[in-house]
Amino acid sequence: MLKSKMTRRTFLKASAITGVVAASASYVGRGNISDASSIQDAEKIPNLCNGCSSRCGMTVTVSDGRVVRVDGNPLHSRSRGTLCGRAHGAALLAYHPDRLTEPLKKNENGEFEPISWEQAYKEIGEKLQTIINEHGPDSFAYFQNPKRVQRLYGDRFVEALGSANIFSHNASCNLSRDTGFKHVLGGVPSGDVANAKVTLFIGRSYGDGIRPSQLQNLVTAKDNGSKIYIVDPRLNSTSNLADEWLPIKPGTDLALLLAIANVLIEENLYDKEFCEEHGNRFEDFEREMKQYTPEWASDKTDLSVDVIKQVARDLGENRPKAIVEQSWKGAFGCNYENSTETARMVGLVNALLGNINVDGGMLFTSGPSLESPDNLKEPGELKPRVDGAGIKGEKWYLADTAKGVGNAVPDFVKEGKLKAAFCQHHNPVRNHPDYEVMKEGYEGLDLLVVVDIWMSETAEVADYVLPESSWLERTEAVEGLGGKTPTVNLRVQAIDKIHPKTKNFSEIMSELADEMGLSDYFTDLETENRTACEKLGISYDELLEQGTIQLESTWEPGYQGSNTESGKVEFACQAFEDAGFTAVPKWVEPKVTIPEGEFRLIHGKQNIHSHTYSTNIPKLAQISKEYNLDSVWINKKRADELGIKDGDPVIIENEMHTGKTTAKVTEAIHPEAAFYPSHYGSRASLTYNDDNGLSINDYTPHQYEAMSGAPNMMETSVQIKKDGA
Amino acid sequence: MTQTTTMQNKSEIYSILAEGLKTPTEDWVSWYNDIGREKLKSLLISFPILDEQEVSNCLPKQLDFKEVDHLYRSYFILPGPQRVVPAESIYKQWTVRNSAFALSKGFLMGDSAEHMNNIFKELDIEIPEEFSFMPDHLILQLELLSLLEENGNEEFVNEFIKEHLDWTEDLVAECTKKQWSGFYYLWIQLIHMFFHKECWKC
Amino acid sequence: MARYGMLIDTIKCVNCYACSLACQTQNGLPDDENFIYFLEKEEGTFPNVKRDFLPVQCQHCDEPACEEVCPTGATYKDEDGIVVLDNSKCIGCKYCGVACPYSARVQLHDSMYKKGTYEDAGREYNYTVEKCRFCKELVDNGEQPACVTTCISNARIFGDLDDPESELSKAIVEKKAKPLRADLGTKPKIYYVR
Ligand code: SF4
Ligand code: SF4
Ligand code: SF4
Ligand code: SF4
Repeated sequence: MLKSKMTRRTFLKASAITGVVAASASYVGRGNISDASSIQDAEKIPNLCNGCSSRCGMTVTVSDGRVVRVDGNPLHSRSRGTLCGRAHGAALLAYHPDRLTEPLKKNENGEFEPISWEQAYKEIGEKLQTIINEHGPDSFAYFQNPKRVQRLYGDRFVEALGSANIFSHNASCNLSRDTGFKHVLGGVPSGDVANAKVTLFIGRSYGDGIRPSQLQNLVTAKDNGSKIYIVDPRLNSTSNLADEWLPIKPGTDLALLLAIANVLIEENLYDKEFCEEHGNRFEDFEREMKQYTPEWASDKTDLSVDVIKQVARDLGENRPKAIVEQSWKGAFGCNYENSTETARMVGLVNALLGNINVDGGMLFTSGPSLESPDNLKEPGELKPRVDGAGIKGEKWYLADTAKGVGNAVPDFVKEGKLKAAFCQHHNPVRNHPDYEVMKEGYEGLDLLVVVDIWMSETAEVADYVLPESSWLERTEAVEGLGGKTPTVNLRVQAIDKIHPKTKNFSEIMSELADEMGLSDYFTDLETENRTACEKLGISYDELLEQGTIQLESTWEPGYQGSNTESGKVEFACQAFEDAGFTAVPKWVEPKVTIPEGEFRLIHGKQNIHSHTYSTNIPKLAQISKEYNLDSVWINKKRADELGIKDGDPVIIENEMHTGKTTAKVTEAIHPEAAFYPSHYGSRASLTYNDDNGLSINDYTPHQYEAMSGAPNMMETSVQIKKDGA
Repeated sequence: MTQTTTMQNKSEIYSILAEGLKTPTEDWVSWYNDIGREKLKSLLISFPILDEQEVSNCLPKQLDFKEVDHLYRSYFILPGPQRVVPAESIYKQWTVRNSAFALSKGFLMGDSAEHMNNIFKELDIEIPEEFSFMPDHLILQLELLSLLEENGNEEFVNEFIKEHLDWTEDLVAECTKKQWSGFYYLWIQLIHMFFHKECWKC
Repeated sequence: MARYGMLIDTIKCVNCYACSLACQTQNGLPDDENFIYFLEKEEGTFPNVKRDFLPVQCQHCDEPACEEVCPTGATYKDEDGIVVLDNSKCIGCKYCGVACPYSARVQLHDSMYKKGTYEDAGREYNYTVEKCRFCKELVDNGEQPACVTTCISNARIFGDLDDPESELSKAIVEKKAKPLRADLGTKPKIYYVR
């Protein structure tokens, strides 16, 4: 049948169009270069930056409902009035064209289709319930970035269902570090760098992975004349602040630490009294360290015997104001077969220096305790964790339960142990080694729900993708920061939601909880926030105004005991012996030996990027482009041998992957290492990060460190050759 | 042709162009196949500036609903490597006002969006909720043009097109970059051709 | 009246781009235009290597080469020694850009005007050749330039060179800071610690 008329679905609802509109009435011109500080009629709203996970205090200026400027909040203990470059880039995220605008469901053809929130809640709730009924609550897991709002609404949701499977993104950051520290010191202290006389950084670069307060502390230390050592196969961006660079062979930091311990003990430069009084089985440790001479370590590390001795002596002679900084991912966060041992040794060298919880040492400070309303229902008994972390007899008994072996998902799925997962503010498919294995693993789940602001590699394999409001569009949970002076901080909604159908994470989880009959465990964010403040005796309204409130210091200097099995510093840990390792840390070779002619692919942060999301921000992507930041660093001599010149296109390959990039030929890197930054190589379909380089995770196989289960992210060897040669 | 018929023609053209950018329905596809294509073609070639062959090339003969529907999803709806958001703000500098982000580019809700909102408000026009974050979406702009032409607002229309439809070239470039092909790619080119060749001035 | 200058301590600089991004936002520049750019120099051979980071911007020369060649007087030194630009006089001839030994002049390029500039709206600075103005608006207001405030490492100090008691003057003496390529004769007022 011929249809003679087009049925119109006119979007615009107009009553009557009359008269002429003043055409350019609302276009306000500027006669001059913008002066963003003189913006009139603007509102200033306190916020916590989301450029990276440090959440620096900032002030957002809003005019006519739009973000017009961001500034550091001088009251905040992390930003102290400054902001790094990422903050400016992240400011317009709310307006990004890649934003998810409504809930998506994957249909039978593997394509996403938009659905309503009601349908999403109903279907997700029903599916999750069926899975739990059939396979038990421990077949469900939650993957997050551990901030308080995630804990209040995500962790609690999981626990309300009876599961203990909470995993943070840290498996791809510092699972080994935390595992090592937990067993020797009972937790991860923070280095009082500003007041230390000597600081040894291992892989950690304050100038590359920026948290403003830390970098400022380092500058203060420098101004005060303290001595700074940087141990890194690469001369990183913090190098000018250092007195000496120790260009260590990648993967051998443990040897350096063992030798430092050896020298401290042999030359009696350690805090004997502290070790004997507060150390568990110190004699065993003392005995074992004898074998690790500087000569032995020099051979392993490519550092000279003199340098090793000098570092040890500098530390020992300046104790207790001498520290080995704890790092983030750095060299031993999750990178090598010996990373957990390295972390144990970092903890123990600090203990040898008697610096635990003293000024200029390694501090254990606590944040304010933030409580929920009393009338909320508490979760009952939880099923054991699927990764066996913290469970005697299990493979990853030693692994830190606050983080979990999240990189093992593909195996849990294969073994039929994990059926459903929620994932928020985290992109495990891209951020753990081996994309194909990760993708297949997450695809194998019966139910995968991803909550995010735009698509990620993980969202692409999800069954449901739920759109979250972006950071400037949401108020979050009151959160605390530790330190000598603890603070309470808040992210306050600065602008109206751009996309009306997006929701805050807290809303999403409590509404889903309602659907599943779990309402009693939750209350709304405002009630949570007011309660937390009330119980602390501070004013929520003041917090809304200022974004941050300083509390009285509760920090007491001096060793306060350790949260370990023995309650002491564990120079020898029974747990390690129980798990089949040695009680006293010992030398462990890196898993991969680099064959002649190949390189170890190492990675690290760049100061304008965070994780793998920020390359989709035009301002930041532009800097990468302008300064060729997505290049691979190769030692000059090695490059010469390979006929590679600075700026040449090169191919990096191994049995897993082949990819192209450009070479940065430099003297500033150990010959065995090839450094490539960890932010690039997105495979998600996003607007501003096409052609954006390689991902280190494409070159590293899915593997585990024996002790913590961490993914051994730098245990891989690659070949590099000139493209077209 | 009298002044009014041209205006009616233009109104009709804008309306059809807008309709073609909406979620396709079987009705619309069969209308296009049976009548729409020829109708639009004849409306367009009534502008002497437009070349019949060029116009014809942009109008595929037979559309298949399933195919068009599929293309529509991957080009406009689903997050993926080919999605394009045809909203003016994204293709222009964000704001000309005093702002730290004055000359940033690539974001929604820029000045052009704000201006569209003001126009809608002044004209007492309501827009659907799902467009509240992109009042400067191409569909809305075309619909507005259609309404304005219908109501004889020629002067404003010209002003409006000059200010608000100078980004279709960049839109075509974006679609090319994202390897579009088929009906929507041609449709976008047709829209661009119409504005670029300044047909509205006729 | 002052004679404003700056010190950049490259020992403290971690090449973090925060200053250039803060500057970009302070001045509302497009993403691909900056008044600050970075040079990097490597010295020595492995393992004795040094990496030098050098943030460069307009040096606010006391005898600005750019001012000298400007045919319209658009570029001039104000009473506080800040080299500024009167956009209404600039004809976009780029002489200043050629004359400046520090490549500090930036011609805001076409792309930002092509789309979305509403010519009728009275924009004056099309094709003017811009530069760092020591955040004059902020400084006149008693504040610090944006790059100084944001620098996490405190690598930047801004102040009055004529005031021997200013933090800047003292730091220049104490740290033996020197201008970049003083030999070029424009008497630059940014002092570098290297
Ligand atoms: S370090 Fe930078 S990106 Fe991270 S929170 Fe602070 S200002 Fe934002
Ligand atoms: S903000 Fe400071 S540390 Fe960062 S690049 Fe600029 S001068 Fe260097
Ligand atoms: S640095 Fe260049 S632009 Fe700045 S005052 Fe000197 S000559 Fe002029
Ligand atoms: S471009 Fe402008 S400021 Fe530069 S020399 Fe020419 S007129 Fe003077």
